[in-house]
Amino acid sequence: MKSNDFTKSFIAAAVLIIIFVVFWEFFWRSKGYAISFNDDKVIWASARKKVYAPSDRATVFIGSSRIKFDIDIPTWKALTGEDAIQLALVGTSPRPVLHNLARDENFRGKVIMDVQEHAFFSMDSVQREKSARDAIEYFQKETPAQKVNAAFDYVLESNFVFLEEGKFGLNALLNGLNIPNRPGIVIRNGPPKDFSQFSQERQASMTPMFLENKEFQNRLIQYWSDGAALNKSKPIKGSALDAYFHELKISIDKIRSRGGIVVFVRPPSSGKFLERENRDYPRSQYWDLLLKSTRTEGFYYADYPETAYFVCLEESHLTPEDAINYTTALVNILKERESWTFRGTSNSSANPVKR
Amino acid sequence: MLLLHNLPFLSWRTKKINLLIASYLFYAAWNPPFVLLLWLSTLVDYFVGRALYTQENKHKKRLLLVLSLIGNLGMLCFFKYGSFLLENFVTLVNALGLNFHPAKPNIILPAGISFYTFTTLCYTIDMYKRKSEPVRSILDFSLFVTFFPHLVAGPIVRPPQLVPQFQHPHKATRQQLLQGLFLLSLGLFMKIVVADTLLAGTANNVFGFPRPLPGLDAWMGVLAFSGQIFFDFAGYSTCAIGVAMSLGFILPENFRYPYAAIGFTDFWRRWHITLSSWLRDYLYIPLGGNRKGEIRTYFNLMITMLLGGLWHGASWTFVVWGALHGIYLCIEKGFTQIFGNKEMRSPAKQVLIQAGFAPALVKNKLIQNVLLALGTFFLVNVTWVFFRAKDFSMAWRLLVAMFGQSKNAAPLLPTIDILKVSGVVALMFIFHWLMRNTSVLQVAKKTSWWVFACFWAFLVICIIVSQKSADSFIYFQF
Repeated sequence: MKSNDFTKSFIAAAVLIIIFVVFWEFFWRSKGYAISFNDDKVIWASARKKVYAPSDRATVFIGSSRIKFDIDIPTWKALTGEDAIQLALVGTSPRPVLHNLARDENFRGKVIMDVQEHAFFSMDSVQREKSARDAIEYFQKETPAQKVNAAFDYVLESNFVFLEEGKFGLNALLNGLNIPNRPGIVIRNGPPKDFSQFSQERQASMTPMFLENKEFQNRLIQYWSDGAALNKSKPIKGSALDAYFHELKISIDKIRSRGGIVVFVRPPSSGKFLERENRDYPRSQYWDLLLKSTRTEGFYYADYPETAYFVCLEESHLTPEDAINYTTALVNILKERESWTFRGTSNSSANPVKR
Repeated sequence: MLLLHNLPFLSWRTKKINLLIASYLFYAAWNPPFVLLLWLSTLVDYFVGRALYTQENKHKKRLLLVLSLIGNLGMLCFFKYGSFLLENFVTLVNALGLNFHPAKPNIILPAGISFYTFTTLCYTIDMYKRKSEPVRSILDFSLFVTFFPHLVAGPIVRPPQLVPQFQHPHKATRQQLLQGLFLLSLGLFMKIVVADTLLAGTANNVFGFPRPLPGLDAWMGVLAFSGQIFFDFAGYSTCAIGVAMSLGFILPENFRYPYAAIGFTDFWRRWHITLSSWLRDYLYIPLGGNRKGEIRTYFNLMITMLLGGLWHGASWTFVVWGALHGIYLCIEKGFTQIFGNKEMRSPAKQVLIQAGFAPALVKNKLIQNVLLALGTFFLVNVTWVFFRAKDFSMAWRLLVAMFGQSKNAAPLLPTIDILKVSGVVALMFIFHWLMRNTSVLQVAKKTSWWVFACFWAFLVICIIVSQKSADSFIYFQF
C-alpha cells in the first residue's frame, strides 16, 4: 500500500472540520439559542478591571444571580451616564468580592450589594463563596497569556453560539443525558440551559424560549423547590451573625473612607421562593439587622410602590422587560437620596428606557 | 512563528534569533520577571561549560563543577524546595523542644524550573566529562536551553540531541509540517478532551472528598487520575514534539505507551523517558549503578527513585511515590536474579509468574503478557494515590477505600462519571497494548488517507466541542 503523505488527509480533515462547525452552529441556532457569553472567572476578571475607569463614576454590582438578571446595564448607563460593572456571581455570597474591593486602595466607586438571603445569611455561605474566591484569585494571578486568550475568546464567543461551554460543551452535553445514578447520589446540574443567557457585560437575562414556554418556567420553579428541599444549611445566628456583620462593616467603612458608597438592595422574589426566604430568614432578624449593624442604607423592593408590584416569572428573577422597569425605579429611588449622587446627570426622575 | 521561520529572505541566524525571542515571549507570557532567571542560568552555564571543557587543572575543574551545581541546584532548591525545607526544619527543631515559628515564605515557583535546570545541568556535566564539544555560539546555547516547545515541561533534551540542529539551516518538509500539525492536534486532544474534560473532574472530586468513600468511587478517582496524568503530560510532550517538528526540529520521544508496560523496568522505559534516562545517566550510573555489588545496586536504585520522586514536587508524598517505584524495581530485580531464566525475556514476567500473580495454568503468551501488563498497571495505580493526594491522611483514606475497608462510606460519583472513566481507561489500556511496539506516525503512514482524515477531523472536532475546560498542564508546576 502506498504510504499516506498526509496532504490529502490534511485537506479532507480541514473540510470535515469546517462542515462540522457550520452544522454545529446552525443546529443550535435553529433550536432558538442566541449569542451568549461564558459567565466564568475569565469574563469576571475582565469586568473587575473596569472598576477604576472612570474611577469615581462607576457603580459596581455585587451579589448573586438576582442582581445579574434584575439590573439592566444599558438602562442604568443611559439613565445615569455612569458605567455599570456587574461583578455578581451566580449562587454566591458577595462577601469575598466586597472584601476584595475594600482591600483595593484604588477602588473609590459605588457599590450596590444584592442580598439573597439563602446565599447571604446561611451557614454554607462560605462554601457558596468558592466561585467568588476562584474568580478573585484568577483576577489577581491572571497571566499575560491568559489575558491574550481572553481577548480571543471574546471575539469567538461574540460570533459563535456553540461556544457557550456551560450549555454546549462536551461535559454539559454528557451531563444532559441524565443517566440514572446509584441510590444516595444527589447531583444538581444547574438550571436548564434554556433558562438564561449572558451578555459581554455579564448581564443575565431569560432566553426568549424560556419566556414563551410555561412548562420550562414550571420546571424551573420545581428546580428551585427541589434545591430548597435538599439544602440542609442552617441560618447564621447569634454571635456568629454579629461577627459576620462586623466583618462586613469593616469593609464597607474602608470603601467609605476613600469616598466610595455602599448600599444594599433586596430585589423582588415571589411565590413559594419568597415564602421560603421569609420563613428561613425573617426580615426583622436579618435584613433589618444587617442595615443596622453595618449602618448602611438598604432598598427592600417591597418598601417602594415602584418596585413592590413585580412578580417573578419563575419566582426568583425578573424578565428582561421587568429588569428595565426595576432598574429605572431603582435609579429614581437612588436619585432621591442625598447620600447617593450620580455624577453624570442631574438628580431628576427618569423614565424607562425604550429599546 | 511558522510564517517567520519559512520566510525565504531571512538568514538562518535571523531565524534563530526569532525563535529565541519567541521562546522568551512564550516564557514571559506566564510571569515576565522569571525570564531573568532563564538568562542568568543560560549565561552562567554557557561560560562555566566552556571553562569546564578547557580547564586542565583537576581541582579548578572540580571547583567550577561545584559552582555550577550550586548555581543550578541552588536556584531549584530555593524556588522549589525552600518552603519544604523550612517547614521540615521547623518541625524538627520544635520536636527537639525549641519554639521556632518563622513567617511562612511566599515563594512563587517559576514554571518549568525543574526541566530547564536538568537541561543545563546535563550540559555542564557533559562538559566536565568532555562527553561532547562545548556549544560555540551563545545564540545556539540560549536556544538549546530556551527553545519554547521543550522549555516548560520537556522533553528534557541533551545537547547532542538539539544543538547540532541549530548549527545548520533547518526547515520542515511538507510531510514534517503536516505530521507536526497532526501531533499538535493529537496532543491537544489528549490534554483538552481526555485529561481535562473527561477525567479531571472525577479525579478532583475523589481526591478532594474529605469523607470515607466506597471502593468503586475510590478506584474510579484513582483510575481517572492515572489517565489524567498520562494524557496531560504525554499530551504536552506530543504537542511539543509536533510544534518542533512543524518547524523542522526533532525532539526526543518522551512516552511510549507506558500502561502496556510489563513490569517496572519496562514502565520506566516508556514513561517520561527523557527524565528516566537522565536519572539513569546523571545519577544512577555516577552513583555506581550496578557495578559495585548487589547491595549497592539496590541502594543506588532507591536513591535514584527517591530523588526522582522529590524532583516532581516538594512534598513527602512524592518521596513515597518514588520510594514505591524504587521498591517495585528492587523486587523485580531481585526476582530476576533469583529466578533468572533466559527463556523469559521480561524480568517482570519472571517476577510476577514466580510470585504467583499470573496463574501458571495460563499458557497462552498473549494472555500472560496482558495479565502482567494489567498487574503492572494495578501497582502503578497504587503509586498514583501518593502522587495526587495532598497529604498522607488523604492517601491513606483512599487506599483503605480502594481495598474495601471503608466504613460509613457514601457514594459520590454519578453514573456518567463512572462511565466516562471506565470507558476512557479501558480504551487507553487497549490502545496502549495495541501500540506498544509501534508509533502513532508509523500507524498513520500505513492508514488510508481518508480514514486518517476522518480520525484527524474527529480529534479536532472533539477539541472544539470540549471547548475551553482546559487548565494548565500538571507538569508545568514541576
